[in-house]
Amino acid sequence: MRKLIFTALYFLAVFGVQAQNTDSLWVKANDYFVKNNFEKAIETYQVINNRGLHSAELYYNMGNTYYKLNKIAQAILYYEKAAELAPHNDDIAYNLELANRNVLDKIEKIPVFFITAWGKSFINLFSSDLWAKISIVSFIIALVFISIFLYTRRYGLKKLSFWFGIIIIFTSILSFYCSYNQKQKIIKNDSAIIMNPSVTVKSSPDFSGTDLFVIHEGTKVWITDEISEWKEIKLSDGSKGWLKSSDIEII
Amino acid sequence: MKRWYFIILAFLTTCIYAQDVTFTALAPKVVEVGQQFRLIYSVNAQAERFVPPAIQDFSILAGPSTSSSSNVSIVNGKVTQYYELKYTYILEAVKEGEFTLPAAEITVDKKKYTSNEIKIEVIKGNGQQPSGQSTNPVNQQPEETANNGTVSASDHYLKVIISKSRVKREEHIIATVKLYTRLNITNFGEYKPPTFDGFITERIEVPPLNQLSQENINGKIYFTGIIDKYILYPQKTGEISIKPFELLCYYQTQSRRRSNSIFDEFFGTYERAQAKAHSLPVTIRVDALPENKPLSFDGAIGELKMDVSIDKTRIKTNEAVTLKIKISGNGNLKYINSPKIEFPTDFDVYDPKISDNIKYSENGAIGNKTFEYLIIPRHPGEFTIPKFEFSYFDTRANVYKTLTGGEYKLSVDKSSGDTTVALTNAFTKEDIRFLGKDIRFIKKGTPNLKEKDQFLFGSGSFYLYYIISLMLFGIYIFIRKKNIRENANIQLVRNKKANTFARKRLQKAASFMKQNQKEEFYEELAKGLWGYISDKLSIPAANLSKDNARNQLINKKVDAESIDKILNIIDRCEYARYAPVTENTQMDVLYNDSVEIISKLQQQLK
Repeated sequence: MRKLIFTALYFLAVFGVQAQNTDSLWVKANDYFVKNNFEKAIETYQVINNRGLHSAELYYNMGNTYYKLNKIAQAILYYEKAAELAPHNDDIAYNLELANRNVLDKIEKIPVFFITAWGKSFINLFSSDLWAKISIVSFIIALVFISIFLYTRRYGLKKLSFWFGIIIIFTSILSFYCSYNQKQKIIKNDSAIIMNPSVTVKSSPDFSGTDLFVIHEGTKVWITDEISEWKEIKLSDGSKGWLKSSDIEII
Repeated sequence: MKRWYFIILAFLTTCIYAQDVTFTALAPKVVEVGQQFRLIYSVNAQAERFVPPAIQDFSILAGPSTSSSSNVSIVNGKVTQYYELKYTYILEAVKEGEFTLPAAEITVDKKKYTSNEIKIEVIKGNGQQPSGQSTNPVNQQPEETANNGTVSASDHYLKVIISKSRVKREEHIIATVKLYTRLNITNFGEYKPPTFDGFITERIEVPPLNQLSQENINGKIYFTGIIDKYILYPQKTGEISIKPFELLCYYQTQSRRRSNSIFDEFFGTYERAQAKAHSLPVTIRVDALPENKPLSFDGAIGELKMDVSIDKTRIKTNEAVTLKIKISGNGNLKYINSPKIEFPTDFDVYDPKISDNIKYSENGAIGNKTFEYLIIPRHPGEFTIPKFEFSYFDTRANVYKTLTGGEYKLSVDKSSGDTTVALTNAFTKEDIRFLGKDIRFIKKGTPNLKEKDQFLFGSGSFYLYYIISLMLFGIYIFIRKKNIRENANIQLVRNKKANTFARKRLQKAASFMKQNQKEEFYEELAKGLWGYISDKLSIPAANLSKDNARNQLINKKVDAESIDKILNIIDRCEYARYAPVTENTQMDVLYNDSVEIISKLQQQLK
């Protein structure tokens, strides 16, 4: 019994310390950054990240640090990670764009049908969690409207609550879908950043394959297939090819 | 005065830098017996103490006579002085055979120089003594050929002498255009050089033809001179013949016209005539190269070697590396292409700078050709310039030979001017206004950290929210449903509560009675009774009337006495309300009756 209490206390202490540590590490890392000690800063951020914790802020700061260290590929990787968590954050988008200007490959993007683009941008308005919350809240509101509709004797209120109820239940379903979508985007791991200064993309998952094209560090690619050490990637202009898994880092 | 000084100075310097002393002997190679010819020793400097050679095999007709010539030419302000001193003998060949004239000796500036030895072949004359007037070989006039201006082709022709009559394609041959003539040529006219169809040609510089030499062809003396010399590279296989071409020559001929003039008789008369020298046909057989060509063979032929060098292998990005390929030897250098090199795809490689240094001579085209590749790696990393091959056909060994160069390992470091790579390249595709902008500053607020891969969506609590809100909704609906059901039984309620309401009204009426407020009392009493009937019999207030009430009460099997009584009380109440004076005293009686009848009805209406 005493042993049990001790272990419980021990774990409590450890986790307590760790929780505190994370916050103080965050402050410490930010201080390093301000003092232009970027190597130390990135080390400290990595410690936080290695504890299995993440947030848009953490990735954003890591991206900034890598940018200052002139490691553009890493900077882009972490900005992209941050953008996944906080899709409509202005600062992240700005820094990501700035970092992308240093990428050598200029790839013509396939024009997306404007409705698709709108849809994507709409889904990206909020993170998965926020969409989930919206879904729940709007669901509750919809229920309230439904009950008003059912039991009011006033005709005007009945009509109003009917339409509002329908709109809000629709909102709930939509945000449920958006939340699902955002989550899938993060857990699917289907996009990656080229980490090697220059990578020759092959026509087949083999070194003897024909050289198709050369891409450089920082370019974003989409993973479409995988065979052991090789990954089939697609560029934003639609061209496809194979490269070694070690050449890229998944966002 | 000053001017003189400079002129003298100029002469002095030219003297100091005068050419090397050359001392040469000159005589025709072939002469006929009895022919007179000149032997000239010439030296290009002021000389003294000429020691003549011992001339034994020829008879000396005259000499040595000295003559000197000098000229000074100023070209573009550059002064060149030319001086020549000549010792001339006139000799006559007396017997057949080959003879050697030993070297003569001369002293220039207290240094002794010896001339070359001369070999002269003396052949038997064909009976015709050459006319003795002219001792200059060029002016020598074989008489019998010069009849009436028509010249036989065998006496006056051009010959193309080729070094090989059977060659491989692209293998070089030397073609020499030589004039053979027995005419007394004075000068040359129009010359149409051969076209050499089917060949690529390179002209070899030959000294201008000043003097014809003599050669013995089939026992006849011909004057010969080299007009032109070419290197030919056959471009097709099979028999290629060189198209005929011609050279117009002017010559002197002794006039056959008898003249009356004594002077003409004495000096002889000469006429100027012209004759075209035609070329003799020549064919060259060109064989194809053997079939087993190496992959890298690109037409190079000859005896070649390749030197490859790279100036550095450890470099930084954006620095230039020079790969130099030098192909040297004897062959068709001018038409050699650079070997194919597979540079790493990410390098900037410029077209090679090609320079050649080729000398054309009798031996062929000798020299070298250099390809300089300028390579600029744009990205750091380890790169390899792989092996490359250069193949040629060796004309001597008659086989293809392959030379290899490489491979080179290049290690490219990131250039220290770090941002230049990325930014300069970014210039090309982006607007400049973005430069100088920096990333936005880090976030310093709360980090909002959470576990990775933890989402509200799909988690237990997410669905729990839905379930809880649905449950709340369900409970609400349930309560409402019950309420409605009970609302629907409103008559039952009224029935249940009729007695209570009536008693409340009666109590109120009792309080009015105590205060002696008659009107209110009667009203309340009437309301109480009517209300009781309405609630108990479920008659809506609108349908409430005495007849209606009586009928309903009868239906409910209330005894007639009670019906009469209650209606009577109501009547009396209403009567009392509107005629208050008369019914003055009966308030308490009426009240007691009402209480009584209600409790009575309560028992009967269950």
